[in-house]
Amino acid sequence: MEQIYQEFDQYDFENDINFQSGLPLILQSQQSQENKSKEDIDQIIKKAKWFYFSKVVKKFDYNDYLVWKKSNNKLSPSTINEITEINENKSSSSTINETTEINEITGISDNSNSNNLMSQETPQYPKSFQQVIELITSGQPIPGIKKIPNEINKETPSHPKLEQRKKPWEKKD
Amino acid sequence: MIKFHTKGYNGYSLQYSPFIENKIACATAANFGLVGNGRLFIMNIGVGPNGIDIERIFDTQDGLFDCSWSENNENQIVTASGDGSIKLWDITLPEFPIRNWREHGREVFSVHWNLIKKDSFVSGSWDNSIRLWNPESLESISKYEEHNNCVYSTIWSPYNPDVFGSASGDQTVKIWDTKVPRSIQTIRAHSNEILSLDWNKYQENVIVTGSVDHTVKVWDLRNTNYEIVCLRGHEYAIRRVKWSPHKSNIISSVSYDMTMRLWDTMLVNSLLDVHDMHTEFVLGVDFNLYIEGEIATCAWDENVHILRPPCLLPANVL
Repeated sequence: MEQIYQEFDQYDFENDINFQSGLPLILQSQQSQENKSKEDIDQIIKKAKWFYFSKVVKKFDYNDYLVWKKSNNKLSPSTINEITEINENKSSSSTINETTEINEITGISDNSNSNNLMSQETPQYPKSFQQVIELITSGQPIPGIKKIPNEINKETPSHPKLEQRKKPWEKKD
Repeated sequence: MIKFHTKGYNGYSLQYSPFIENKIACATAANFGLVGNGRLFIMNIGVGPNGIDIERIFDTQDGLFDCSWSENNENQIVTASGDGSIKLWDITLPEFPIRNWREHGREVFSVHWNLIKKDSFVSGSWDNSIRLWNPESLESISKYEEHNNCVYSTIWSPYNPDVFGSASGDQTVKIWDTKVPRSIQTIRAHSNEILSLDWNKYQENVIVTGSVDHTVKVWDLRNTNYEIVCLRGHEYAIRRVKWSPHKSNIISSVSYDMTMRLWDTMLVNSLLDVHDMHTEFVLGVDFNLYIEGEIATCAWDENVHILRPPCLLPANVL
C-alpha cells in the first residue's frame, strides 16, 4: 500500500493531459453550485486527483491514505479537517454527487476515444487550470453558455386531437 | 441503423411518443451536464434524407436529464433539469415552456408521466425527494422524503394507477402508493447506487433494477429476499434499464461501458445482443411502443441511434 501512496504523491498530474482536460469541468461544476474558497478548491482538486489515480492507475482508500500521511508526519492542518469532513459526509449526498461527477470525468479520461470529444468540447473553455481559477475567483461568466430567458409561453396551449392509444400490454389481456 | 447527431449536446434520456409511432424526444445537456445549457430535441423518424428530422428544438438554461411525454395530450412533454426545475412544453408553441415548476432543491434526474391516471406525473431529484405533480396545478401535490440519497429514477406501475417505484443512491428501491404518505415497500436491491428501475409490462409484481455494481436484477415484489435473475456482463455502471413493451422476457440496459445490451430473462445464457456502436457512455434507451423490434439509444457521444436488432424481430422472440 505504502508504495501506492508514494506513487500517488509523485504522480505527474500537471502533465497528464486526460486529467488536466477534465479538471476545468469539475471546477466549473463546483463553482456553479456555490462560491468556494481557495481551500475548498484545493480540496476538490485533491479529491479529483485521488479519483483519477484510483480509476486509471490503482485503487486505494482515501482515508487510509490520509492516515498514512499523518503517520508519516506529512500532514497539513487542512488534511486533518479533510479526514473529519470525509467521515462526517460519508453518506451525505453532496459527497456522493461529487464522486459521481468526478468518476464520470475520469471515466471519460481513461478512454482513448473520448479524448477527441474532450478536446472538441474544451476549445470553448479556458484550457489551463490557472485561467479557470481566475475566472472562478473573479466571478466572470463561463464562455459558451447561452442566456435563456426564464419565460413562460403566453400562447394558448394546444388541445389534444389524437385519441389515446392502447399500449401493447393493454391489448393482450 | 439511423443516426442523429445532437451536436454540442450529450444525450441523457429519450422517449418515443405514446401517440405517434415515429416521433421521439431526446433530453440532452451541454458539457456532459456539468455546466451549461440543455436542449430538448423533438424528432420524426423516417423523415428527410437522413431518415430522421428535427421537428422542434427547445433550449434551456441548464442541462436536461430526463423527459416524459404527456399521456393525454400528444403535443406536450415534461422535462427534468439540472437547476431543479421541471418544465412542461407544448411542441406546437416555439421557444418557451407553458409551465415551469421550481420546487426541487437540486438536480431533477427523473420525470415519468402516469400511464393510467393520465393527469399526473412524478419526479425524482438529487435533493433526495420525490414529488407528485398535476400539470394543471401550480404546486406539487405531494412530496415523499424517505430516501437518504439522490433519487435517480421514478417509474409508474403499468397496472396500478397509484403505484410507482423509485431507485436511489441509498442502494434501495422503494415502492409507493400515492393513497398513503409513506412507502409501502423497501428493497435493498444492490450493494451500490441504483440508477434505474422499470416494471414488467406483463407481470404486475415484477420489476428490474440497474446499478453502479454493473448488474441488472429482476425482482418479484412478493418475495424480495433474493432477486429472481441477476444479469451480468456490463463492465461499468448501468445507467438505465427498460422492459420491452411487447415481451415479458425482454429487457434492455445501457451502461457507462458504452454498450446497450438486450437480455432474455427466460434463457440460461440471457444475453441476446450487444450494441457497441456508441463511443461514449450510453445513458438513454427506449423501445418503440408500436413498432415491435425498434429501439432507440442516446449517449454522451452526441448521437441518437435508432435500431432494429434482429433478435427483437417478432418472429425471433418467443
